[in-house]
Amino acid sequence: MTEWSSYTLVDLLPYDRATAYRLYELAHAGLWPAQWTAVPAAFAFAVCLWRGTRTSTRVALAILAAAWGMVAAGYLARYLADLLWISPTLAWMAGAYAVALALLAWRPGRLAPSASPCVRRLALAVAVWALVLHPVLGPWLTERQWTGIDLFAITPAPTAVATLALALAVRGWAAAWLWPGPLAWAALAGAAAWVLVLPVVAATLAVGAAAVVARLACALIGPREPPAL
Amino acid sequence: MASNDDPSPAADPLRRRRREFARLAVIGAAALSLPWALRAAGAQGRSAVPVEAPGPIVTRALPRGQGTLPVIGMGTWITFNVGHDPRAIAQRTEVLRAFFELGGGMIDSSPMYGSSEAVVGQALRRLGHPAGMFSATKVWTSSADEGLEQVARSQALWGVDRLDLEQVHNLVGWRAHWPRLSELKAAGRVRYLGLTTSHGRRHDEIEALMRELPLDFVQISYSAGNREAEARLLPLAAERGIAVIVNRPFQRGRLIDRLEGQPLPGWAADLGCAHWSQALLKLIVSHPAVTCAIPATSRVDHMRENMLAGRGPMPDAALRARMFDDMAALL
Repeated sequence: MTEWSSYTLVDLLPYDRATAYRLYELAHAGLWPAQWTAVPAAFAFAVCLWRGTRTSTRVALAILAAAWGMVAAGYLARYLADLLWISPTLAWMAGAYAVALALLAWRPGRLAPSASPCVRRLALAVAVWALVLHPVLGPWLTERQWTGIDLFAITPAPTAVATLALALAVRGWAAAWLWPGPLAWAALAGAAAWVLVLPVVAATLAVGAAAVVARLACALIGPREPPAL
Repeated sequence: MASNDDPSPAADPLRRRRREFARLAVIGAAALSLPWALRAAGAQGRSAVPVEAPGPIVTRALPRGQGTLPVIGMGTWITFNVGHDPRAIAQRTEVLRAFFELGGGMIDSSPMYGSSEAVVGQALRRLGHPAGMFSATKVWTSSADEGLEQVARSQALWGVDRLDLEQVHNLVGWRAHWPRLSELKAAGRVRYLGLTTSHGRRHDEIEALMRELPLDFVQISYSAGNREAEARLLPLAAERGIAVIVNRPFQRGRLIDRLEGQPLPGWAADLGCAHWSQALLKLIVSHPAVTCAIPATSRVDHMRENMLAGRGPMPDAALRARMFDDMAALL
């Protein structure tokens, strides 16, 4: 359709950075006290990632499923939908993704944590960036307020990057199910970062890209891992 | 000779001279300070009155001789898309209040702009639906049925029985919408119909449709940084009696950012321009084919600047050419 093809990124983001930051504040206020669940969930996820067993991987998947469900029903459906016409669709997609992760937690198949120390350290580093550094850098370096901080299971960014951390940490064909969330977020966040000039988001995208490259390097130059059972 | 015991000044020449000297000193001081006093009084008088260009806001004729429209309207892309934020809605209400206080008419919005239509509607309710509003919105969907739903929704959000202008946004689905919108116009639910584009896109299509359809309005981008519309679209609009709305007069602030800090040329004072934004707007709305410009802002002070650009002297063709040249040299 020629009409739609004339649109650019600038046309498709109908709000400015101040409004975006303010939306995070409103979401936190409106979703309170969900933060009391989100913070322990983030901690539990990091512990599961660190432990790196089959069981802890399934628990991490379940935590991610719940987190994506909260992001879908909360931030995307109730708040971003006020500003962005496509947000209801994104909410449905995130909800479907949450269901897929829940099914994967229930029936992981041959999904297994990587035995490579390099990979596990890389995944943990990405998780720390997602759960701690990315949220803190926003209010610290920009005009974003602490009351509108990025938070796992509340806003998409740390949830997506934490999912990337788990995607990097596991092996087996079922690991492919973990990638749609981070990739979709990367595409949308990249567009938003470009239009709205969001330096912290840009930094996180760079960290994610570097982590993916590092993961490939670990796989290529590190000791070959046995096939997932 | 008066004695020292005589209290009367007349009786004491020294005291008389001192008294005379004091009287003359006071008179002299008053005389010397009079010009300063007058100047101070004059300055105080000017500053007591808001600095604004003289006269009411300039207006342009609406199609078919159905009244006039102030040359400065208001866009709502991004600026009014603030969702349910009560703080932002209150602030945007003040922006709208300033708009109407200074003679504003056209408010332009679209379903594409997120919550902008709803926020405008809330602000209008808070302001008691000021008289003089020219409601202009759009349909933004490929589906004709959804388009009608959008029209109804816009009317409900803004509390109007009849929209002044309904436009097909960026030509999306215009073939499907045009017959339906024409029916709405015939039924009196919409006063005028139009098409929009922006960023200088799809001018060939717009031109063809200006020749083909009985358009009342066309909305295009035109600014000191984008003069493409001058070549064909503006003359064609004048020829066919199509009113022209200009969006992006500041290119989303880019032109102002590039000009800010540069001293205003001499013609700015002649036109009553204290800010580059006003010069940019006068340049656009002074084109004889332009009906109205719709700058968007979320700030009350910027709204006042914008609205004042619609008052006072407007440049003629020769001065417009100079203004374009001067701005091009700076951009």
